[in-house]
Parts: sequence; C-alpha cells; structure tokens
Amino acid sequence: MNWLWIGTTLICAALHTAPASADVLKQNDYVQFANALTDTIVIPAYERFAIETAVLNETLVGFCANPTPEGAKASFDRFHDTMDAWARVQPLLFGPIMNAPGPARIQFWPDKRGTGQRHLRRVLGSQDASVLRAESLATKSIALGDLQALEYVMFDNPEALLSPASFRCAYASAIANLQRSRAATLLQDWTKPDGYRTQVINAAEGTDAFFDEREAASAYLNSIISALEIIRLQKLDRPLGLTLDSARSARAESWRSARSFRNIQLNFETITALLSAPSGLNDLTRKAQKPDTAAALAQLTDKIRENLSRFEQPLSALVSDANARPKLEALLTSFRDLQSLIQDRVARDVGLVPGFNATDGD
Amino acid sequence: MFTSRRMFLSTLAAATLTSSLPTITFARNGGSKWMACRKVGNTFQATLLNGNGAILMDVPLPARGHGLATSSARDHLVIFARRPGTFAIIVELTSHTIVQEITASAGRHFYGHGCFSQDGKFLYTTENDLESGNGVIGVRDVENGYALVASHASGGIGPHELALMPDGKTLAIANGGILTNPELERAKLNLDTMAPSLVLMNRINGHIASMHKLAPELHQLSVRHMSIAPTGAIVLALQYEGPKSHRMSLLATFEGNGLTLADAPETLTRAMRNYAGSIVHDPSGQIIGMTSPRGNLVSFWDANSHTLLGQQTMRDVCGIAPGDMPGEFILAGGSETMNATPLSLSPSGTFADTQWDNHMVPVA
Repeated sequence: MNWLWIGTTLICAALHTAPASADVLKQNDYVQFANALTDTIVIPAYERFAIETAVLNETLVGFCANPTPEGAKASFDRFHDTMDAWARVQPLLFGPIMNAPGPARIQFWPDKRGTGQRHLRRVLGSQDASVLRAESLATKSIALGDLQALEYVMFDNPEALLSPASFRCAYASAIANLQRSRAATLLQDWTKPDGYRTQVINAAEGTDAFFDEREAASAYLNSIISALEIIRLQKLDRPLGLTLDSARSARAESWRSARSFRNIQLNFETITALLSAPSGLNDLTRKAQKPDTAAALAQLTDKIRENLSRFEQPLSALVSDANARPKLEALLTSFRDLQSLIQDRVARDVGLVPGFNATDGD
Repeated sequence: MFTSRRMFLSTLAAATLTSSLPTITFARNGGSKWMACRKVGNTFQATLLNGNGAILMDVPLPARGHGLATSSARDHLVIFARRPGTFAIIVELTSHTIVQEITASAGRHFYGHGCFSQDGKFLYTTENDLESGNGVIGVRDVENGYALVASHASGGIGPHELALMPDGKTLAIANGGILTNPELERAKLNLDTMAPSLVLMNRINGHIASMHKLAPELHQLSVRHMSIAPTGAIVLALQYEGPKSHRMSLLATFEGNGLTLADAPETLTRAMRNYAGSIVHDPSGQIIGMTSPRGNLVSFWDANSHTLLGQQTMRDVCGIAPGDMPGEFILAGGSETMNATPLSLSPSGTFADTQWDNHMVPVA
C-alpha cells in the first residue's frame, strides 16, 4: 500500500466521521427531544384526529336520518375538520400508524393504479349493502373504507347524499364509523400503559420498539425527512409532471374536495412544530452548539410558510397554468432545500445521520 | 431520495459508460475486480472497482439498485432493481457495455437478487406475484434476449436472495416470509404470521426438493441472504422482526439436515440490532463474513464450527465480497471500501458523494 494513499484516506475518513455533536449532546438531550415532541405534538394530534372522526361520524348519522341542506353543509364541514386533523397527523410516520397495512388504512393515496376508484365504482354501481356496516367494511379492501373513499362518496355526487335513504349517505357514515374506530385505536395504541408513548419515554433503557434513546430521536428526525419527501415527490412533483403537457390535476391529493394546498399547509404546520417546539429540533441543534444551522432552519421554514400562503387557487388548477408553474417549481425547490438541510446538515450536527444501508430494510 | 425520472432522463441523455483508467498503479493483485451499486449525489449507479479502489466502469441506473449476478461463462453481469423495482440491466463485462435492460413481466416486480446457471444460459430471479403475493422464481433464456421462459412457485412469500448449489442443478432460495405490496409502499403486511423458509429447488423443472424452517417460535427471523460453500453447506443471514428487546442470533446454517441457529454472544446480538445485511464466504470457504449496517459492524465466523472469530467496526457497512486471498474480504459502506480479515481492517478507497449500497460481488 502507498502511504500517501493511506494517509489521504484516513484524513478523508476523519473528516467524514467527526461528529461535532457527539461530545456536546448528552443522552438526556435526545430523551428530552423525543419525550417533548411525543407529549406536545403527537398525542394531541392523535387526540384531535380521534375527536374529529367521532364528530364526523355522528354528524353523518344524523344527516342521513334527516337529509337537509343544513345537515349536508355540516357534514361537509366536518369532513374538512377530519381531513385537517389527519393532515396534522400525516407527517408522523412512525409508531402504531405504521402497523400493517400502514397509513393507507386511513388514506389510500397516492392510488397510482386507480384501485380505489375501480372498487368504489363497483360498490356504488351494485349498491353492495355489505359496505354499510363498519365491521364488514373493515374486512374489505382498504381502498373502500379510507378517507379517500369517503371523499369520493361525498364529493363525486354531493346531491346524491340528499336523496331519502341514500346509499351514498349510509356508505359515507359507515366509512366515518370505521375511521372513528381506527383513530380511537391509534390513540389508544399510543397512550395505553405499555403503549408507544411508554416505548418512547423509556427508550434509553431499551424497549420492544427502540434499542436506545437515539433511535427514538431518529424516529422523529427521519419522520420529518420522509414527510418532506412525500410533500415534494407525491404531492407536488407527481401532479406537476415534467412539462405542462404532462401535468395531471387528478394526481393532486384531495383534488375533489379542493384542499390539496391545505393538506400541505397543515403537514407543514406539524413539521415546523416538530422543529420549533420547546426541546424540538431547533433547540436540539442549538444545544449541539450549531446556531448557524438553527438560523438557516428558521429562515427556510419562514420562507416556505410564506410561499405556501400565496397560492389562492387549488393545486389541481395551478399545475396546468403556465404562469403558476414557475411558482410551484420554486416551492418544490424550497422543500428540497429544507429536506437537504435537515437530512445532511442538521442530522450531522445533532449526531443522528441515518445510515443509507442501516435504514434500507432489505 | 432526490432522484426522480426528471433527473434520470437528463442523466441518461448525457450518460456514457466511463472507463477511466486507474490512476493508482500499485495493484495488490492485478486481476481482481468487484462491483456494487451506489448512490452518487442524487443519482444511482453500479460501479466496477479494482482492489485499489479505482473505478473501472459506472453504469447509470434508473433508480436504486440492489443485488448483482455474474456469469463467467457468458461474460454478463446483471444489476437488479431494489425491491419493488422492475428493471434489471445486463452489462457485458469485457466490453463495458450495456447489452440490455429487462423489465419484470406485468403484475410482477423483482425482489433484488438473481443468479445464472453454470453454463450462463439461464438467469433465475426472485419475484413477487402482486395478485397472489406469492413468491416466484422467474427463469429467463439468456440466448433468447433474456425472454421469460418459465415461472416457478418459490414455496413461500418474499423470496429474496437465491444461489446455485455446487451440483449446478439445485437452486437455494431464501423465502424471507414478509408480505409486501408496492401499493402500500414497503409496509410489512404479515409480521404475525410470517413463515420464512429455505427452499431447495430443481432448477430444470421447478420442483421443490425440500423446504426448511426454523422452530415455530422463531418464525419472525426472516431468512434473507445466503452464501454457499464449495461443499454445498449454506449459511444464512437473518433479520429479526420481533420485539427489539429480544436478542437473536442472526446466523443460520444448513448442512443437509435442517436449519440450525449458530450460537452468538449477547454482546454481538445486542450490537447487531436484529439486522444482518449480507453474508459471504472468503475465497477458501473456511471463513464467513456477515455485515450489520445497523450495528456498523462485520462479524467473522468459522465456516466449520460456526463459532465467532472476530468482528470489525465500519460505519453503515453492508456490501461484502470475498477478497483476493484466503481469509480476506472486501467491505463497502458509507463512502468507503475496506479490506478486512477477522483480525484487521484497512481502507482501500474513499468515493466522493457516495453511499455504497447493500451488496458487492467479485467479478472474474
């Protein structure tokens, strides 16, 4: 071996592995980080989701029994409240929500093969009564009992909900009931005595879910990174397409209820809350003595929040608007910058760089 | 992962296979080469290296790659898409050219591994039949443009690595047991009921000669990667899907009479974090190397007694291949490659903007 070669390699290796944080951050900093986010963000978000799905279910049951225009408005409002609560939960991509079959049991999206619509058209065409009870609905394709199905049933033909003994109305209530039950289970799975909250809180001692406190802290960090990636690739890039000709408005999330941007805004609220909450990621970065990184994070998140608030038309319309596309591309770039900043710089600064192979799972 | 079709299209337009001559000329052993997939910046490639870490060839990939298969009889190497990808790229080694890209047939995806018959006439691939969720072994006729000529049931769910036994007739298949469906991303759908197995299959007619499982209480130990000694003894690298508070040995062996779990010290099982990534024999077949990227370590085992010989630390190490000499291994992880023995570890290359991927193979 050539000594110059070895020397160069060792210097490179040293540069790569010099974790400035390792000496600064203590076990308790990671514990505080994961615990604080669990109690101030995760549990309240699941509580809210459980409440909104229950209220939606009650509202739909009442409306279907007595279909009035006021009842219809209340039902659509409660649908949006439920979606708001879900959009706040959506970036939390770890814990009980990941149990099989994953988040798709709440929202089967993106549905790249059109599976959901195929199933839904069949059920609506045949008025298959077996979907009208949450218990039997739970045993069918998840694409028949999720929030995407509910949106289709309510928004594809809203007048049909108002007809007496409406099949669609009864089906919508059954989906809401199933989602109420799933949301309640998710909350319980977090908060029960040996639940996921306990797994996080005791992570430092090793639990069934975590080898140690750094793995629990990593779950939050990786969740932020994954959520940003989903916003970029699935929510913005897919409907946008490579060119104006390849734009596909029906690929926008929740396009039927015209709330694609609102979903992204609320996803982003949760992401920024994970950053800015006391003992959150910004604080952890400051504790690691990286104030420049913390400042860059704050600056970029402010910019994205402001950009997001500027879009006034639905995403499904804007992707095909030649004038709007540059703004959407710019938004996409800001999200990419934020993901890079967190994935590359913040993760290194706080000593939680996810291993490429370690996170592979193959 | 920033790479999208958006980027790949522009990469392809500009892509040519680089064949830069090694600039460092103090070769350990002139002929040896290795190939592995890697992420470079925001693009994916498969890269051919010599023992000094010099790059001999880069093959651009449309998305993340995984395993590789070589045929010395055919001068072909195949790079497989990472699960649930559908591409496999065939490279002619001596000319450094892409000869073909094949695609999984409709309703199927690749699981990331494959192997050739000894004469290089057939390629065998592990695949998922999406409709049923059952594992399939695809058989492709190399001389007929890699046309799919047969499909055999793998005897389980989620077949991952497969390899040809020394008899040239039998395929050893690691049925990982985990049900996934690309519509649900990479969610594991059957952890409560998973039933991994090692299957020995007649490659000619697809008949399953035997199927081997660990004890029922160990059903969450996924059988995923393997290496076969010249004697036909099989070693398997496992991944445990049960509670993280359980400590499991992740090395199973098969010598004709069922699967046996090797004894592993608790310090090692704790350090490996229930996850082994890749496993190979050294050139002598006497030593086994098994990587754990979650534990940032590689462990070495006596291939006869299945006792632990030693371990080395390397960040995110997963790719492992036999080295030049008995007792030697090549490792890849993070942006580095290393030469290793049970007693030593030395860097052999550092690669800009690189994340080496799961697997590495020797190329004759």
